[in-house]
Amino acid sequence: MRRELEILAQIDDFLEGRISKEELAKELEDVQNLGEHIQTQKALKLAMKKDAFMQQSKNSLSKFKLIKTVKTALVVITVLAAVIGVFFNQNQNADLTNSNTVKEKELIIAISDSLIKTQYFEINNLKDTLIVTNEGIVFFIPKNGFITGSSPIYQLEIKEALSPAQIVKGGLSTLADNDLLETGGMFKISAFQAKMKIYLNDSSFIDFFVPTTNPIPGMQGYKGELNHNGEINWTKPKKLENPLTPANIAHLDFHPPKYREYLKNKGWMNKRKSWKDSVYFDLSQINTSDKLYKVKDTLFNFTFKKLIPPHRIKSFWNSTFNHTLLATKEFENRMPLIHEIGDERILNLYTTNLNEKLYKIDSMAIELAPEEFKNEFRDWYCLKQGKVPQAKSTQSLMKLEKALKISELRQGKLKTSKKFLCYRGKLMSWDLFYYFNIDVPLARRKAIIDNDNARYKRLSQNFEKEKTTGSKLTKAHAVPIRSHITIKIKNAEQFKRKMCFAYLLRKDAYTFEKLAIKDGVLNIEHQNLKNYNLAIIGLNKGQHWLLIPNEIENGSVELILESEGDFNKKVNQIGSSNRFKISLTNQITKANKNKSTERLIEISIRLQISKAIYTYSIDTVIDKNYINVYDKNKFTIQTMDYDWISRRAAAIPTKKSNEINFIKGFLNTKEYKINRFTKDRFRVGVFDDKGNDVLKDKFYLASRKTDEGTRQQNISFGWSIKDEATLLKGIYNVKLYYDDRIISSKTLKVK
Amino acid sequence: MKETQLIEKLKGNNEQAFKLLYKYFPKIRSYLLKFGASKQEAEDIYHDALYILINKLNDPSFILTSSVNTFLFGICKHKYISLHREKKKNIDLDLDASLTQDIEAALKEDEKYEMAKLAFQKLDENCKKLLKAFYVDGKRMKQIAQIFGFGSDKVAKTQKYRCLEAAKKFYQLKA
Repeated sequence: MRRELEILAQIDDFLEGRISKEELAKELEDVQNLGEHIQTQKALKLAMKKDAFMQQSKNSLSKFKLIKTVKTALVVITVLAAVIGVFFNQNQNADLTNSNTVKEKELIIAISDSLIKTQYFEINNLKDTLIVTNEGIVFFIPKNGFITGSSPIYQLEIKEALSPAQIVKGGLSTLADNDLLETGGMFKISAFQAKMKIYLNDSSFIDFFVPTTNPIPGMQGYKGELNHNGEINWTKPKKLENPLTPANIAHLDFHPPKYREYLKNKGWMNKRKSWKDSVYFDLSQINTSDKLYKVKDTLFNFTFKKLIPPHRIKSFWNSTFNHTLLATKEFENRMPLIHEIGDERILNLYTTNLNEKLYKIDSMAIELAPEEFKNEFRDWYCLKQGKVPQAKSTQSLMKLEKALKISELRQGKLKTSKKFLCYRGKLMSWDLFYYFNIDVPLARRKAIIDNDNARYKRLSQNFEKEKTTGSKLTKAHAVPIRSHITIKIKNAEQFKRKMCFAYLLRKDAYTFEKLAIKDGVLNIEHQNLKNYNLAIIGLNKGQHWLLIPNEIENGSVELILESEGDFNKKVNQIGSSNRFKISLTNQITKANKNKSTERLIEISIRLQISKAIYTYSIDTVIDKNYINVYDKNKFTIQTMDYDWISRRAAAIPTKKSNEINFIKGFLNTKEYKINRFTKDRFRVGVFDDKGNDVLKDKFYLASRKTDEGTRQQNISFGWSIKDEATLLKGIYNVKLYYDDRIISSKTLKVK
Repeated sequence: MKETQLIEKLKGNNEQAFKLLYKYFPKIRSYLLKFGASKQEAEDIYHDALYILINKLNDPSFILTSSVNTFLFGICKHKYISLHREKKKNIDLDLDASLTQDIEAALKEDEKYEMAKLAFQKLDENCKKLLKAFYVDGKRMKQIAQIFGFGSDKVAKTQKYRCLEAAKKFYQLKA
């Protein structure tokens, strides 16, 4: 970069607060009159801002004048209209009354309005309010959000349809004109005061959180508009807001999932958080290297394969990190996986990139994650979760947490997992009184996944091509086979018009195509019906009639009266796509895996806990079959496979001829001290049954040490066997010499 | 909307709240017209006053001790006086001392940038647009290169440098 441009850029950075004064001075130490340069640039920058402001202000003033003029004109027109109205009213009073009645009759009402139960709430406009609906949708309504009359109290009415049974009973579909959508849930919110509709302030909005267990990328908010039949068509999709859900970091849970299970099994879940933390943080000494633990005469070598050391968690699990991406529900959701992978580098990505958008960090995590975990990060990446929103007050944060907790409990009724995941968005004034649907066009879902996959490929040369969950979907959807099926419903007459209808439900996605039944006949013209289930529904005076045929084929059928419970169960069963079922199966399998813990006798409490929560391997290093170190004045010999590169012997001694390259001796004695003066006086001899010293002159100089201080009186020796020498199969007598005196001997069997 | 709410929203750069500020305009305009200001002049003064008010509200060290209306009135009066010193005698300032102090300080600060504004206005239209795109709209060089049809962001950077240098020269001449 040219120097002049660089100077400008550096001063810009300084004025924007990106670099400090000292840094600027250091970078531009060669520039004369630096202060003057800065002042001029600052003045010009402010002048530009003012100029832009003045322009904007002038435009606003022009609009203000125009609105004032229009208002005045409207007053004049209204007065004129009133005068003319009084004149004509006298002559045409009867006609107008008739016309109003006709209008009232023709007024189109959404079928769903009468079929879906309404939930009523009384709200005080002077307070921030959080609402949790029966199915767990959370609404955050800000203080003074609504334009009310003199009283701040108003009524809120909410209708919701999240489960297949609710959607079907409400007669709702997931079609946007002819495009099939995959839904994440539907709801409608209306506000009234003294039976009059009221609206949100222009600048206000309602935050909503629709719970889900399988977030699908690319979800949008669709507004439901009525067609002339009273059916809802989904229109005007808008992007959902995707900020993170802030929470008080102290209330989040970053413990490894297995630790929670461990506490649960022990009945310690109700202990206070500080106690649970202290037990967990007490494991900080555990790391991925080997740990030796002694039980009676046996030494166990535990290798904790993968773990995030508790002290790393402790370093950010405190109030300093409130209002950062670490203090969010979304990060909490990622922690179990981070624990499972046990790679500190992945955790570091999140803890060191606090100003990045969460999905960008997810994309980096994909690179580091082992192959079997990449997809989970990829799914998160597709959700495009952003940054922490503007800080809410502590009080509203606490309320929000409570509401989400309640939502979590409520969705437990419906969903397969209690992990809180949601679609999040904003409702503006014009979204009230309309149904709102969280959807993604089925075809687009595939495109989004493909697009993202292409990006990963660019990111990583080593990216391995994998099948995505969406690939099947569109292929099947695109097969241009059209079936024409006619089904006659024998008992259709007992239902009022529009109260008998049918649904096509995809087996592999959460979609609801509503089909009309005319004169008792259901006509289906569709592509590839193999991918669908059919449900024919009749509703009459609160009673539910249902038929789910095994095959979709021509014929005549009769709907069967079902109890509401059975109706819900059956519809939910076929309405929930395989994706949910697969997820459920996986979770059950996972849960069973976690329960199967190995039982090992262990004296260390810390090791016990560590074993319960981390993956580990265990080797018996030494047991009394090999050596009994505590028998006094006893000499024991071990033959080893020693690796000269890593300078370590295998964990377990060997007695196989082709593996022996090292001999270790242990002597428990008070008589002989070993130190740098005496070590060369010790020697070992290996004699065969004929008395030949088979390894004479075939040892390298021994490494020798004493365990004095740890296991008293136990002396340890090591002699490595030269390359050309081998200890063949057979029985040997091993003698230990001090100078030329035999101080101990032992029989050794080589296999 | 209550005045405290209005102030909070103004601090948050709320456009709706900003529009509400025009409700004070008719009164202030007729007041200034009464003392001989032209319609255009009254409007310009009011825009200036709005700019000063918004800037001050965004200054964490500033505390508004009067109502928004009074503050705007005060700025407009002072601004008008500073433009027409000879008419000062006829205008009743009728403001308390601390408010007068605040307003005078704000105006003085604003005047510092008056010359920079003149220098900026001397630039040709393209330069003005380019600099505004960078400094006001916060656009990146790549975007600017696309909007203005430059071959690359490097060309855009060089162009921005030329424009800013020209503005600096005008500014130094004025100073």
